[in-house]
Amino acid sequence: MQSLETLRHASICQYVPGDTVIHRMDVRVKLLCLLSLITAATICGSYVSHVALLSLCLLATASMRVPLRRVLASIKPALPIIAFMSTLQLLFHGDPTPTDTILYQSGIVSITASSIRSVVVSLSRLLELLSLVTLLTSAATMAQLSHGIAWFLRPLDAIGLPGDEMSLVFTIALRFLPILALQLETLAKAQISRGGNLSTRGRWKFVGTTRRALALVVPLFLDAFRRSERLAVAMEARCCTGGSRARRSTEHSAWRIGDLALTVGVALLSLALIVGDQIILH
Amino acid sequence: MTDPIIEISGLTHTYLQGTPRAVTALSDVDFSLSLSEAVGLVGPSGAGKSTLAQFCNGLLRPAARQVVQVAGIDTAQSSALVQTIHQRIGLVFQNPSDQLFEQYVGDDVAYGPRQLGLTREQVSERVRWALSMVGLDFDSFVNRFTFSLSGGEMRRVALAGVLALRPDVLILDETTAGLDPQGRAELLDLLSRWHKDAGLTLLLITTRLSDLPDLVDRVVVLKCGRVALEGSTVDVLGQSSSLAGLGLAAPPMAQLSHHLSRGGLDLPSVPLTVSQAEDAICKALRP
Amino acid sequence: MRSVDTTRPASDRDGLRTRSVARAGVLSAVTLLLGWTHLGFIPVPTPAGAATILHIPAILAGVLEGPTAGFLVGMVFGLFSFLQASIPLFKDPIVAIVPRLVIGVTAGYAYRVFSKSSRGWVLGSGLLGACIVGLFAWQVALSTLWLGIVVGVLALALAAGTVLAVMREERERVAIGLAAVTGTLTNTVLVLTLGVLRGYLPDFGTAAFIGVTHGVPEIAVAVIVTLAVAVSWKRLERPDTGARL
Repeated sequence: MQSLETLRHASICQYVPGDTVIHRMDVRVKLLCLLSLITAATICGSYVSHVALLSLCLLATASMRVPLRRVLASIKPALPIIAFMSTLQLLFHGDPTPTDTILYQSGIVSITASSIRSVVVSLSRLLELLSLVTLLTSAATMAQLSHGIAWFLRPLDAIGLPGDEMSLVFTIALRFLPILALQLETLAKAQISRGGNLSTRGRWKFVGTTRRALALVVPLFLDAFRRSERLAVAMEARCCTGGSRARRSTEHSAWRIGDLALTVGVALLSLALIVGDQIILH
Repeated sequence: MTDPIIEISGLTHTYLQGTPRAVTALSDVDFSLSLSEAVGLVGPSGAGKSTLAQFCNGLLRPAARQVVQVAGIDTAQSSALVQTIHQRIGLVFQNPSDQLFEQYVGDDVAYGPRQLGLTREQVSERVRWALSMVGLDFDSFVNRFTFSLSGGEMRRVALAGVLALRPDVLILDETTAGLDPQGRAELLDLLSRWHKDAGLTLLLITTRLSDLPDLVDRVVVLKCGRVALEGSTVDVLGQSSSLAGLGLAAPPMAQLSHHLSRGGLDLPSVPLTVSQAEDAICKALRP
Repeated sequence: MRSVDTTRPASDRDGLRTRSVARAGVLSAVTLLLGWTHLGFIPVPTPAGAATILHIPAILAGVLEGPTAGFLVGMVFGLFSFLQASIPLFKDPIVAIVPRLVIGVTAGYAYRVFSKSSRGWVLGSGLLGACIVGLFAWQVALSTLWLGIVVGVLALALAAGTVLAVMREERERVAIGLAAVTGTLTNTVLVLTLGVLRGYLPDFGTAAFIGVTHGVPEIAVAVIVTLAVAVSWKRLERPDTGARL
């Protein structure tokens, strides 16, 4: 069961140490820029905006010296599904709008200009978002990211959303992931040692697999609950209650002019892309 | 000397091989265990003891061309037969709450027998027997909630769960860790009785060397994935200075005799237990 | 160590708030772990090949701690889904994140409603739900007859199940089961709807097809797992309780 050990030791962190421009940015700048670009990529639906976005993302990835391979490697296993769904999108885009140009039609199959565009845009968006996310996770450690996210979530308290609780939940989740992974590994090993996890054969294989999965999942949940009880007691003992404002980490440095300019610049760029996109489409 | 039930030679194992965080847990380890033996496997943390134990029961399988023979099966090759190993070689992990997962005690102990495909009556019989072996009354414990038991009771249930498979060999991975002195004494007493009366083969993994006298015949010391010392219990546990160099503490009486001989009083033999020390000191003072 | 009553959902009092945060955090960790390993996907014969159980921590958070906790865990699920996705459908933050925010919320409210309301109420809503599903089945049958029949059978099963469970006074289990159904439905319906609206899926017909063939086993799995966990944790006992020996 080598795969069990790799689970415990492998980490969710994909940080690659380096000294590029993006590495040196304050984590909040990274997050804000990423957010603007993700918004733009999500909303935009025209060829032009995605050409711009895709080039931007590829440039950024190249400048980071993050191998493009890593980005593409994550798509590889999903290629069949992507191909299948893109084909569906292309051929069955529903009823064409009046202004649409129909390029090919035969029965229920129809290829229109808008279906082509939707496929291309979806794929382009996929690549953009993949590279943006890879950029962020390669250029920032988990600790930095949770700091940055906590900073963002703090003002949410003012409008009644549970900002403090949110960042606590993120922190706890990341902390407990390796602990639970170890627990799962030991549990699986204990079950195997007692003869469990026999592989079943035949077409009802999935029943056996489901039962085995259940035998691991249910105890995992119960163990998680027990741990959360202990955690809650520990938190209360340290006066770390949900609504308390006493616990503040103020380790962020002040904004630099360069950071501010960059953030605003990227935000404006995204806005321009979105606006331009809407104009082109209508 | 009967044929060894576990035979390992030249075993090397690296976790996460090929990644930048690879860790070599075992290097060129030779180990064998024969039926009806009781062996202690000791070493500082991270020495590779748990890893070796998991090779002994087939949880881990070696890369090709390394020899790990368990119950006559070469674990490098057939994965299907590895399941039969689990019935003959039982492994008890350190933390009981890591191994218990059923809601009721009876169901948890019954897990192993059920996996073996026994009938309902046979399963019930095994559970009854296993619980009595660990000193828990069947009727009062079978319907208890597993996780509302005390630590000591959970430990016994975990043991019972493995015993219920009726293994020939029992591997205990640091099972005495975290136990209070009485709990420890009771557990060691149980193990001793199983070994001496029922002929159960034992492999006891521990960092506490004082668990071992009177229980095991042979001790193997691991350090950094290699076998550092090996020999009979008396021989190995008596070498206080070598053990100290390996980061282990010899049993208190052995250390005492070491200090005494440095102070000028040589004892006729290295005592490992209090009563042995009493005898040895008396003999040395009244020759 | 049972000094705190662990069976009541959270309120706004500080002590319980801490517990909610702790539980939400740990359940989020479970979500991440399930997603990280294959454990989050139970192989079942469906179009996608597997029924996901990644939404169950969010449902459990909603049921045990209330809608806010469900929202938090759902957010972690959504973010994880978005970050890990490699197909266009789920790499869209709107499809990946928005529906998931709501899973725990609807499950939490469903639980609250069903566990506190009277027998008649539960019976009524169960039957109402069955009627809605029946209507949906009829709509689907208009285009694909056999599919409509499948959904119709489901409606009957839902009605029958609710009636039976209510008659046996297992209010708590019904509430939990229905919360699981609600949560899973929210997930499936919203994801597919947004998928169509954003153009990744051709039309609502395909979406409905996927929804039924994939969603139904998923609902079944969700109910099984959620009930198993919640019943165990809350120590709900029937008269014939005890080990199965």
